[in-house]
Amino acid sequence: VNMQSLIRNRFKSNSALYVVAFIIAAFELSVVVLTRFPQVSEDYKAFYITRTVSCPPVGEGQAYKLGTKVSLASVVSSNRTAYLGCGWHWKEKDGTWTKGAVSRLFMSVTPPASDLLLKLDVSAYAGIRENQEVDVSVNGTHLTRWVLPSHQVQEVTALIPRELAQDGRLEIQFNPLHLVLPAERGPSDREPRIGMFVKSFTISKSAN
Amino acid sequence: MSKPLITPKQASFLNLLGPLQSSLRTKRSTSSSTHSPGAPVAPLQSQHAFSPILIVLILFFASRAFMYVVLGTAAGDFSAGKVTRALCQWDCGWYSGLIESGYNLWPVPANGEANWAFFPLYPLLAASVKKLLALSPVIAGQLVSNVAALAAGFVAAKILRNTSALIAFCTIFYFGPFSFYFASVYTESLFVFLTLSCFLFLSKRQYLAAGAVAALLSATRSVGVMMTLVIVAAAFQDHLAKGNSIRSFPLAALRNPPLVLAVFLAPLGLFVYMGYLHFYMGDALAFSHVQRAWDRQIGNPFRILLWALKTDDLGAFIRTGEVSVRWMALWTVLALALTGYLAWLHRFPEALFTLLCILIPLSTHIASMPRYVIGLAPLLIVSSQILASNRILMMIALPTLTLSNVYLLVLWQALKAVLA
Repeated sequence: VNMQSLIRNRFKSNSALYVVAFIIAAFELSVVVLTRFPQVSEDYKAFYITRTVSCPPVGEGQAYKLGTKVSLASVVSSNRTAYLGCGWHWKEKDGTWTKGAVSRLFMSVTPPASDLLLKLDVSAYAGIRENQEVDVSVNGTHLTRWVLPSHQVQEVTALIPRELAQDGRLEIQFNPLHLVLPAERGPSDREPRIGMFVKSFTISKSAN
Repeated sequence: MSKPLITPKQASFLNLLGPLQSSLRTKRSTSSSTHSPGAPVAPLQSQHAFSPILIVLILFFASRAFMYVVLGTAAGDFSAGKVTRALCQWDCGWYSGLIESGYNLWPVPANGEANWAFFPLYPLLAASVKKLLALSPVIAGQLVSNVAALAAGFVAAKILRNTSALIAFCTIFYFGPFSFYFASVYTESLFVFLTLSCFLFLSKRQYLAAGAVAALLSATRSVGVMMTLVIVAAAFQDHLAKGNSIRSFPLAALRNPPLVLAVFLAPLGLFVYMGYLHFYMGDALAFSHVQRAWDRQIGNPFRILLWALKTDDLGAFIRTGEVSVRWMALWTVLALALTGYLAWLHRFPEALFTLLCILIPLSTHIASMPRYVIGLAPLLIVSSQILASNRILMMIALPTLTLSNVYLLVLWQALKAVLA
């Protein structure tokens, strides 16, 4: 069967072929124009288009019930990855290492009536330095800087003003300031740099 | 210097592949191979000793039985479910997700990977099959892949009008290295089928039909859009073959309405997908931008190839199946060599297509190059013709290629990184 004849028989004349070609060309040109005007979030633009940040955009996140303790240990958590954004190392038995300069948790919560308290069980690592420093911010607002002695398991907290969670969305960001290579693996440019080991986190209503 | 397997004159693209094959073996002209490029194409005359359809059917089903035995033996479980799962690795997961629930609005939070990278035609077909026959996404995808692989065999039988070449093609395509991609939930078999169909129409100068198929090709994989240039190149070669000048080509092309429509039709699949992405998630180029999540960014393809060739990881791959960039680079070199051979044969449209389909992904990364290479239909065709030109070569190469695929298939089901 001559497919071309079949297609051409659909059109009464060569002019019709030109008209169809013109319509298709106009459509394709309009799509090309659309590529110049992406309608995306700043997060999307920064990660995918300008490539200026290391964390991809995230959606609303999994619903989190205030007061729930979420373990980041591989052995107990089945859905922990639902809260993990970018910047986390592979799971380990007791918890998860942050990876690189930015690590994020994200979730959706019921808009709180009072301030919230973020609580983490962590152990820091800063190589030869005595302390690791970690900047903490929520939804883009800087909250505090933790100074964490190396190799000590401890509980750290940060107060989240309720205004920051009014849209029901929490994006918590950790920026360890002194990134180091895992000591046992030796220096390698390809190894991810770590800073803080997180065993679990809890977000609850602040007592104050 | 030894005599070439195929002389450029015999291998003119417009005389195309079938008659060329017979000239390979007999070294004499056939009625088709002496056909003047400018004259209407004569009806194809099959030179198959056996029914080509039967050859394709037998080799296809034998290969699937063979694959089943290898996968079942490697996994220690011959149940259909286990074998199906063993065949579904790496991107099969992405495609299964697409078939099941379409495009995601948000990427994977950890790394930004998203299924916008995967073009829509194949998952759309599989999703339709899934819905019609109430199958699982993986089974539906594998069904589409296998039907496309079978259809590609039939198209190849129309192109390769010589039994030995067809057997060589079916052996490489169904049994050869990485042939499991054509049975798994990947776009490769559909891509090969559509590419072969395009070239078949081009060989008959049915530009409009070629353009329509190319539109489907550009909705299958991003590099499919390169068929647009191939259509122009084929028309240009045809124009010159008729004794016309280079300068008269633009006007002659514009006066050929089927050709004009074909050129705008060919990239339509890509543009429809881009339009969809814009209205779905705001970025018509999301399929390209998302490559960042896989560490792909544009660079010099030859520098990337050179870097990959200089690595020293082939031994680890052979011993344990670990990822080897040199292995990927060697496949790329083989593909470039075959592309050069196509060009030397004056099969410029085919050479152009394979060159672009190699260089574009290579310019971003060496990863997955063996898969991209094995899915290039002109290379499958010319490899078959080379093998079929020498009986001893064919008798050695075909079992070797089949055996190599057994090793690769075992690695594949064990989820070794070598095949990522």
